Amino acid sequence: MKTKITTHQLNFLLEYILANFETYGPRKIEGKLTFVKIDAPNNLDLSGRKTPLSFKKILTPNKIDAQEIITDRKIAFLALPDCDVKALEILLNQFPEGVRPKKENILVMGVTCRPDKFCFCDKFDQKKPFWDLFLEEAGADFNLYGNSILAKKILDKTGIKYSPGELKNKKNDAEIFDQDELKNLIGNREKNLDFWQGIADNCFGCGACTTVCPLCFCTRQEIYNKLDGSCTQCLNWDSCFAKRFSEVQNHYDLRPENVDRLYNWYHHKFVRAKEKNGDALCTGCGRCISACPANLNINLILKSLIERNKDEK
Amino acid sequence: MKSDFKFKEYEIIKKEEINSDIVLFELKGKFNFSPGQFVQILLDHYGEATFAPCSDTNNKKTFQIAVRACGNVSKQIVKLLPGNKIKIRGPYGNGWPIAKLLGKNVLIIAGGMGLVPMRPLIIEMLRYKEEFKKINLVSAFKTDAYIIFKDDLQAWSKKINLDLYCENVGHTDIAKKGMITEPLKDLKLDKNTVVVICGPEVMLKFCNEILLKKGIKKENIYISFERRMECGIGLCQHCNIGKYLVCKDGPVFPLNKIEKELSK
Repeated sequence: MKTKITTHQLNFLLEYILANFETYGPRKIEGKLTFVKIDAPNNLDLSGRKTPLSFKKILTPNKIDAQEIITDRKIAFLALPDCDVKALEILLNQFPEGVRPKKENILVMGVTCRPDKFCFCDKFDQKKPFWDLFLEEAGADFNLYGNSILAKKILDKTGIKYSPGELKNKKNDAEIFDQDELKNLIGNREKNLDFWQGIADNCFGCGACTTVCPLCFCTRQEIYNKLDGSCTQCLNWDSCFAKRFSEVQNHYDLRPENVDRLYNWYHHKFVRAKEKNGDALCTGCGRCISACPANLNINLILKSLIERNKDEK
Repeated sequence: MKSDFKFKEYEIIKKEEINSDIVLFELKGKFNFSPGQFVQILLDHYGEATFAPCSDTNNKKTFQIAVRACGNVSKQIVKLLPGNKIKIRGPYGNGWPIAKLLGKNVLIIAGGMGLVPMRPLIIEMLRYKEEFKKINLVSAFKTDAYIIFKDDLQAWSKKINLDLYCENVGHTDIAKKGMITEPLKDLKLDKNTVVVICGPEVMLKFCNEILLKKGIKKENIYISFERRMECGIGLCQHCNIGKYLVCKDGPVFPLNKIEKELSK
């Protein structure tokens, strides 16, 4: 089921969302797509392309005052591609209540995504839709799908018919990663020591992947002193590739080599998170691939890890 | 709703310098914790660090925190004086599994500052001494200047079997010369003995080797781990050992659960 709406109706809907939510979405600024606050309907880019940084910078901002994490913000994320909608769901699952905004307060609108050459989200299972609204281009008009009570409320207010429905899953020809297999393969470090060393030898350890990844959320505390004598305790983005990430007293580093830190990244994403919350911390958006200065490709790395262990069987 | 980083202020009422590095603070106020848990202390302008409260859990008026000056924050904390206030949040983590120790022989191994989280446990155990079979305490320090809780150790030695060792013995005769592994080798242990360990990472490996040789089961060896803590509430992801977070799942783990994760 879907509702056909015109551009005029869409603008009306967006106006309503803008008036009632803190609204963020992709916007073209000086020719570059960025994920920013949207203040007018025509600022929103509906192309379905990924922005270099995701909603992460809104939900878990860098340098946020630890005493000021407000969890009852009403936020709307508009025009997210599929992989980001899924990533948002996984990210919200990672935190206990009272630390990050609640799902009930977040409106998510998905759009048909336009994959770039690095995307490999088709290799991950497509789950039940997490979006409240989904927008699909249909010629000059749009098809609108609804999926939640929040969406119904909004559509009722704007006079658009709410039609609950699920999108048909896209045809998926790619081979899906068996996440349990990945979990076992990555969980067994001893068996693939040389494999991880080989990747670490090529990795600069710069942490660019952790910055752009929507599902990397390590933080480090830092104190900022102010001129008036006071200070604020802030949570900064941290990267597990940073050299002193696991350092304890007397400069004793528990992960002294880059290979230890690189392995920890994969281990967190595909083993620890999978075991704790049931989802791997990767949706195949490919941002880390496009950001990596050493041209490391997580898609190919996972693939070769699986193939390498197939040969041994 | 506000964040989970809520601090409570406590006033320092007594400061005792154990040596040039280690300071014992006594703070005013009631602090509910169980032995083995940890707290985060914030020092304005410097940052946060992790410590373990080390006093009797039954004391409703004061509690103690031992601080060793070895990092940016702790080097500043030891400069505080009585009358100053300390910001504390916590306690966090799961403490020692006291229920598992009941009715058993207990061996306590504490290396250096590892004695700090052990002290509330030992005090608690001595209070209900008849509930445990035999209590052994093995403790070792770098030099005798580093020995913490000297008076306590002397008092405990009358009630439980105490082996106190120092790598370099100076002028005291309370400690024998040797590494922590020396007394362990000679100890006669029943196979159902429960072991609790806290100490530096290097010590753990050697102790575990000896204990396993003596036939002690892996599930009966409990280790308290030290990892870098930034938040204490499972947000920052700094403190993981393999698939476990030390702040939420630990800091005390049985050896059989954590052994495989240590290399990750």
